[in-house]
Amino acid sequence: MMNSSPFSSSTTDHRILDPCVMIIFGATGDLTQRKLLPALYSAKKKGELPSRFVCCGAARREWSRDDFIDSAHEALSPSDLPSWEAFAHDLDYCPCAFTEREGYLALKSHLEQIDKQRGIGGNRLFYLATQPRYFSTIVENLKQVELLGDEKATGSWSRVIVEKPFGRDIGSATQLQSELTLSLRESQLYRIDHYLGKETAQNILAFRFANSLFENMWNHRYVRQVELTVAESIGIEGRGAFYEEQGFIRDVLQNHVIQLLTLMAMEPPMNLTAGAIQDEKVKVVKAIRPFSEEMIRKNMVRGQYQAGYIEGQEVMGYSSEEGVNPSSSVETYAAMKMFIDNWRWEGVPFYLRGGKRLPKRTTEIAITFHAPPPVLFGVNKPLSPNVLIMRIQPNEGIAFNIACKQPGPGHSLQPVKMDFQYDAFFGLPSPDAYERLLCDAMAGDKTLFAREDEVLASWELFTPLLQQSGESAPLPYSAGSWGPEAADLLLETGHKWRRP
Amino acid sequence: MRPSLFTLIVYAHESPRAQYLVGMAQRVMERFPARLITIAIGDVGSGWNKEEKVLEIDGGGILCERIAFRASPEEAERLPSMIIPRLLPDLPIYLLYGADPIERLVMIDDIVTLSDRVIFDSESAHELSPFVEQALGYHREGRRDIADLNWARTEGWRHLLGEIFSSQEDILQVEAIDHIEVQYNAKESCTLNHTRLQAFYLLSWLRNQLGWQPCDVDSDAEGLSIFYSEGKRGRLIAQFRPEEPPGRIHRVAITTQTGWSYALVREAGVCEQIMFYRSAPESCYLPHHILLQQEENHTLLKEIRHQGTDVHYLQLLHSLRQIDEIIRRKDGISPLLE
Repeated sequence: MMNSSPFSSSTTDHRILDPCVMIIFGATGDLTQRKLLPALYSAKKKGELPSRFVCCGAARREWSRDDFIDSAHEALSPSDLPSWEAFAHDLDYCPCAFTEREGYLALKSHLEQIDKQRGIGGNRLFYLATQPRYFSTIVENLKQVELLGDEKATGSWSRVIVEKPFGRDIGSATQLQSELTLSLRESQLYRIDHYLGKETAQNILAFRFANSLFENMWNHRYVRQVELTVAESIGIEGRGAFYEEQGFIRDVLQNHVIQLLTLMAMEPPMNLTAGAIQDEKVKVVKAIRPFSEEMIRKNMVRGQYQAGYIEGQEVMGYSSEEGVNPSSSVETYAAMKMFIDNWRWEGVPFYLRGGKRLPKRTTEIAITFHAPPPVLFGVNKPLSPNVLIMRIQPNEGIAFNIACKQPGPGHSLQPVKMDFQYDAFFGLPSPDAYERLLCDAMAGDKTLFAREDEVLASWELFTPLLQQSGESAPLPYSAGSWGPEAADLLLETGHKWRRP
Repeated sequence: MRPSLFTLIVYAHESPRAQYLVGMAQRVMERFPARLITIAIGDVGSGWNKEEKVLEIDGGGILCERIAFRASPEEAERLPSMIIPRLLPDLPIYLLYGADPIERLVMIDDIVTLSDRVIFDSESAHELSPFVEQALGYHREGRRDIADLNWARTEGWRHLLGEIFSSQEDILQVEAIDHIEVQYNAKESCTLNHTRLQAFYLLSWLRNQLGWQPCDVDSDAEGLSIFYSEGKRGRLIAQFRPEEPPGRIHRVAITTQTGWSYALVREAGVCEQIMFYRSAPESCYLPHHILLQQEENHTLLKEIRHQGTDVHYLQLLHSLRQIDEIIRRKDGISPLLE
């Protein structure tokens, strides 16, 4: 008797996913239109979705299935009719008010009908594209109507994906975790951080551990400084009410930047399983030097953008944006210096910075190496250090700056750059992060999702910082500039911020 | 992103001179892969625009990327927000400052702050002393390298003079030099009006190296005389040569108290060939040809490759200020930049 399909190949990366229904709570919202539906559509076209799959929207609006399909069509603007028709066939909708049990009962009935019609077998992936305050309510109701079952008992799996922010601080994150785990197990909970889904973020491990050249230099003996930048040129895009509750530190630094930092700084894992990688990432977070009051004063700068120009267009300041309190003290920019107190990174400053309304959109990790002794070169003029740049987005790729001798007599040097660009080399645009993450969730692979201890360790670190920094007003900076000048004071002697 | 070695920014007010400078920059692109950003300041009320294109060379092939910005003075403050995101990370930024730095718009300071090397076009200056102050200010404030197109154009002559006065015999004559004469082409064009500036740079460099202090100036129909301490004298002689580029130096003559004389005369029609004449009181050496380093079409190219700020150029700037002040005190002498 065969236990596996004789037709599945062991020589390709193609995964065969279990049939499932993906239920998106908050399906009429912005995240679904901008990110989730496009990701599913792209995965569908590539043949990466299960052969039997339905995406069922669930929200308060009393839409029909056709309404949901129309909104998807508007979001996707598909040009390929056959692909669109195949995808539309997999869309469905069921109205469900998050706080009313009747909605969940109706949803359950709807899903059971889909199971019968499509032969799906009860596998469920719930995506909570809602405000965090609904997470516990939704999960509790799903449990009560038996939509979150035990796989061993029922033979079918159910998983829940939640978006960040996972709490506002250590207290609320711990409470949220407790509430959720009353209704489901940690193994069913997938905390999404879409930065982990980016090819370039995943490539950090491949770059470090598949090449023997770099790992020997990946420590305090050779690395002078590490700079992580997450810059956006856009403002808050009309989400004033949301941003007033978050600020840049909660929205980006505490999660996305820390995720990139852990990948960059971690020890080699035992293997490439989710658990082994997450174990090493957690160790990094726990080794970050906690922020004392004095450290926060000296090593952190918060800023708020004022009116200025972005790409030649005049833009308003944060306090004039819709939904924002004119006397708001929420930061739209933050820069900080931190240290990882472990054997590998002792004494190496990690500079983190980012914000809204900066000159350009860029996310990158820049590793600056110590300059060689100024004995042969660099006697009269300091040498430019070697810098390894991992561009996470856009222009995904890796660059390495070296010094080259200029042709001719003498020993004049010129900085040159060795540059690898993903799309130029592989001939394909990188898949969207959500595309990868959704398929991973369907496959039950948690490697690229944040684990409970990782998230809580990050909140342990940032909560005192948020409490203390919230007591002072952020420094102004013009939209289109790289932030307040005070950020320069964080730097060690001889260091400077890179211009991405 | 195209592989590039640096970003070259050309900043100028809209004029024939600006076109000339962009042409120079494109010649640099023919040698080095780089990104070219041009900033042209137009007239009041002319609005602003941006154009990105790939320049091609004859016969196909890509020369470089060019990003052209144009704005009126009142719209110019938008420009840094468009320029800064387009600067190549981690690579040098060279700014060809083709305008008078005294009339600078606030936004250009943002660009200067980011530049590793600022190459001035002293031809664009209206008054010399303020130009010198501003140039030195940029150098001091950011500790950034500065250079000057006119200074670069004298490089060939400076190297030549260094070679000529390199033997022991000639070095002995240096202290005895008492008269220097530089002849230049006084023909003006739509791209160059300050025809004696290059000649003046060369003369000032020579006197700096000799340690002469200026005392007085005088002018006549032929040119400008500068009187230095201890009876030394320098002279700039204007000649009109319509067939040659404006401002070009075509003769340098040096005489000494001991009766030696040296003359470097550019051959008509063969711009890089110099005839060298050397004579002592009791002998006359055979004149012979020397080749001058290429000037035209390579000035900016040379400045891009240089590193650091030439100490002699800094000394020159200080001495320009001295002379300019003396000229201002005299009646009837037109300023060096008239």
